[in-house]
Formats: sequence, C-alpha cells, structure tokens
Amino acid sequence: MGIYDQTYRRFEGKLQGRLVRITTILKNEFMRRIRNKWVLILLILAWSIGIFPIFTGGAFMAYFVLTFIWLLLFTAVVGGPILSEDFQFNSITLYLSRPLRKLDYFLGKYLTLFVLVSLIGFIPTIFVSAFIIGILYGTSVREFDYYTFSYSLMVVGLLMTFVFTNIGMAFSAMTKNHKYASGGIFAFLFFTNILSLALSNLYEDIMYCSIWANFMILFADWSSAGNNTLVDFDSNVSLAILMIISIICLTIVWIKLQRVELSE
Amino acid sequence: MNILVQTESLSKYYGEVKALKNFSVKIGPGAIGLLGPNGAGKSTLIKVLLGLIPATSGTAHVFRWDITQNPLNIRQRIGYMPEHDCFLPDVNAVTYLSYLGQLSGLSAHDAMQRTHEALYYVKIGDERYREISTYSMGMKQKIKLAQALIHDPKLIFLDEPTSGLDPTGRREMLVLIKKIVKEQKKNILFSSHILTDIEQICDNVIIMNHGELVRVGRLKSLLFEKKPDLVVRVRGNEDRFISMLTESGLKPIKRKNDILIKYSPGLSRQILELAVRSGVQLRYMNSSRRTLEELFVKLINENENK
Repeated sequence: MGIYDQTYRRFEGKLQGRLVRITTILKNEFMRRIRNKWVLILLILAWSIGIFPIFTGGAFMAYFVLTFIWLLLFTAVVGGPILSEDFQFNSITLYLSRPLRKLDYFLGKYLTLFVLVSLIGFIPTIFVSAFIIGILYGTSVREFDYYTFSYSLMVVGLLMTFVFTNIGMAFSAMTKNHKYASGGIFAFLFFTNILSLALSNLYEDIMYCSIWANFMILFADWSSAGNNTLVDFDSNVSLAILMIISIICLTIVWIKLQRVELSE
Repeated sequence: MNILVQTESLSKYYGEVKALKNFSVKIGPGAIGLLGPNGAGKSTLIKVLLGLIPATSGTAHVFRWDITQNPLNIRQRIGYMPEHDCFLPDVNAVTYLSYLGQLSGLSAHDAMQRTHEALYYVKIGDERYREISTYSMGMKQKIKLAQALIHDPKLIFLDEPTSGLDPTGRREMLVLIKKIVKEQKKNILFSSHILTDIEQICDNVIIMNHGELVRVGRLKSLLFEKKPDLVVRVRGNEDRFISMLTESGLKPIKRKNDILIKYSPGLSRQILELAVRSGVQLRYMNSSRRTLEELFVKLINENENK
C-alpha cells in the first residue's frame, strides 16, 4: 500500500491472543504512568535519598523506614488512578466492549501496578543484595550470614510490593475519583502505622496493626538479623495479617469489577 | 432473511425498574433505527447485546452466538459508539485508538496502521496528535466513531451519534454514517430519539417504549398506510370545493397550504368529479405520507394508553 493511500479497508490480518492483550494493557498503562512528572520525581528521590545511602554505609533501619515512606507515597500516586480513572472517565465501557475478559483487564492493571511498585519495593533490594554479597564476600565479617540476609531482604521486598499493590488496587476500585483513591491509600497506610506505633507502648500487640512493623518482624525473623525490639513478635502472625489484608483487598477489587454496570 | 440479532423475551430489571420487558425482536442486515423516548431501554438493549450487562431473563443471539456463551466472539465483530464521553483526557487520538485496536486483537503494527486509516476516514487530520481533552464535541464524536470502526466490525451499535452536535456537526456525522452503510456495507443499529436522523439513514425501525417493543418494520411501509388519505391543492373557490366535498359525505380537513381528505373507497375519482363541478383547478393530489414523528407520537400514545 502506498504511503499516500489512507483508505479505510477491510481487515484480513491475524488476531492476537489473550496474553498479548494483557501485556498491551501492561505496556500502555506503565508508559502512561511513568511519564507523569510526579512519578519520576518520586522515583528519583526514592533511589537517591532512600536507597543510595546503603551503598555509602548508611543504617539498614533507615533504609527500611525510608523505603516504606517512599513506597507509601508512590503507591498513593500511581495506585490511586489505576482503576478509578477508568470508572471516572467511563473508558472501561470501551475496554469491555472489546473482546476482553474482565479477568484479563484486571490482570493487566494488576501487573502494571505491581511492576511500578516493584521499582521501589523490590528492584532496589536486588541491587542492595548484590552490593552486600559483593562487598562483604571475602571480608572478615564471617559471623554475618549475608546470603540469608540478602535473600530475606529480597523476599520481604517482594512481599511489600505484593501487599502495597493489593492495597492500591482496592482503594482505586472503590471510588470514581482518583484523588480520593490516592488519599485513601495514603491515609490507610500512614495512620494505621502511626497510630499503632504510638500506642504500642500501652499495648504491645497493637504493633501487628502496623503494616511496616509486620514487614520488619518478618525480616527480623527470616534474616536472623537479631533485632531485639522485634524478637517477642511472632512472624507467622505478621505473615497471616499481611495475607488477610491482601485477600480482602483482592476480593474488594473482584467484587467491584463484577458489579460494574456501565452506567452513564 | 439473514438474521444478525435475535432476542427472545429478553428482560432486564434494576430492582423495581423494568428497563427491558419481554423484548423479542429479529434484526436483519442493513441500517436499523432504534427509536424510543428517553428511558425506553435503547441503551440497555445495546449493552445487554454487547454483554456489558447481564440480562435478568430471556435469551439473545448475535450472529447466531448466544450472548451469555460467546460474548467475546460477538464483541470481536461488533463496534460500539457509546453515547457519553469515554476518553482518558491526557492521551491523544492516535495513542488511544491504537491501544483500543490492540485490545481488539490487532497487532501493534496493524492497530497503528488502521488507527490512521480510521482517523482519515472520519476526517480527523493533524489534530489526532493533540490530547483528546482539547477536542470539540464534533471531533470527540468522530473519534468515538473511528474507534468503533478500527477492528473492521460487521455490525456497529451507534448510541445517539449526533448527541450534542451543532447542525453542521450533525450533518457531517450523518454523511459519515451513510458512507459507512453504503460504501463499507456495514450493518448498523442506530439508536436515537432524533427522528429526522433515523429517517435519513435507516431502512428499518424498531420502536420501543418503557422497555417494550412497540413496532418493528420497514420504514417505508410504516410511513405509507394501506388506506392513505389524500392531500389536495386547488386554485379557485376553495370554500365551495370543501363544502361540496362535505355534502358528498367526504371528510375534508382544511390545512394551511392544502386540504387533507380522509380515505374512502373511490376517493380520487370523486375528488376529480367534484373539482370539475365546483369549477376549481386541481393543482396537486397525492397520498398523504405520515412523518416519522407523527407515527412515533401515535404509537407511543397508543402504547401509553394500553
């Protein structure tokens, strides 16, 4: 066909399968979110302020606190609009009028948010682990099990990514206004943690209400890093709490998607 | 007749509200108008056929596929132009249409190529690279039409395609739709409450009210009655002519520019004779043709009174 010929024609090509449609959603949504200047600013700040101090000998606790803060902000910014924008602008009508299952739509959006959140929650742990193993290997720090430490770091990073993604999806599914969704994500993560930590002096078990504390409990137990303040907490309870939160969030998203009656 | 869409006692209830009530219809190829007042259930019918919302009861088949068993096969062959805006504000037309094309199953290359073809077809030029939020209403409607065409569907649902357009925009949209039907040989289901649009585009109409089917048939046969009244224009002593018509037992109705005479057997011969006897010059005589508006109002009133 000549470049000058722009006639609308019949389509006689081959159609792509489900996996391609899911990855189409992933690619398009990812590129759309990553072009947002606030997303880029948060990513640069998270990597430079939150992560790079590790490489200059900064404390690990500071790394975890900062990672949690950046993850909280980042999930609020990218997670808030991930579903709510489609409800707000009614673009979900066009998507679902295509030969696209609701499950495929959900998977595409979920993977998008998971990949985005992993840029702060999981990907840095790979670099940090490689740094730990690379720098400490062959040194005299023999009593320190840096392999277990690194693997635990990566697993907890992956778990943080998973839980934050679920929370982001749930709040985004609950409202048509992406600002409310973002605000909800921030408020839930921030206030549950602040209040739990503040009240933990009165009642120790309230620490389990803090998502950040649950991750720290898991990391302390799995890495045998020996954090004395967390040694009395049960990591199985922490894991169960995080899984229950995730299941509730995913259930909310699924129910909302099933009940999407495409109203005007 | 090749049936594209068939419904059997299709119902959709929202609690107490009956959006569709035992709706049974067969839709063949061509341009079909879906007429009804606001709240008649037109958009609900389209969404049920697309599988976007589940029916409460009844069955429906599109291209002989059951809407509950094979919704994806159906949607592969249907284009949908929704009534309301459905665009993300911060993307341009090329990006958005290409994305929608890929969601329809086209490869990235095919989707981009067909995006440009569809945008040229609906006469969107370089504006295609601007964000959709900067578009006028007419341009947004064209984008909605383009996205319905991109995957070469066999049947297109147009839900109020001229909604919100100024007269020029409306004319442009109707010209485009006529082109789609005549040149591209696509079947359309044109849902609207603007009767003149339906008259211009459609061969067949489905009239609905309160979720029920009121009438279905070819537009020409619905508008031209089997026993048509006659419309007559005369020059001369019109009042004498009318009184002679009345004395003969006919029922003339004087209108602004002509005389409407109610049907009776042998009417045209009687009128010719009376014209000669009254000394008027008969300038025009033809069957009266109902407008779609008159038919629509009549049928809706009958349905309301039932």
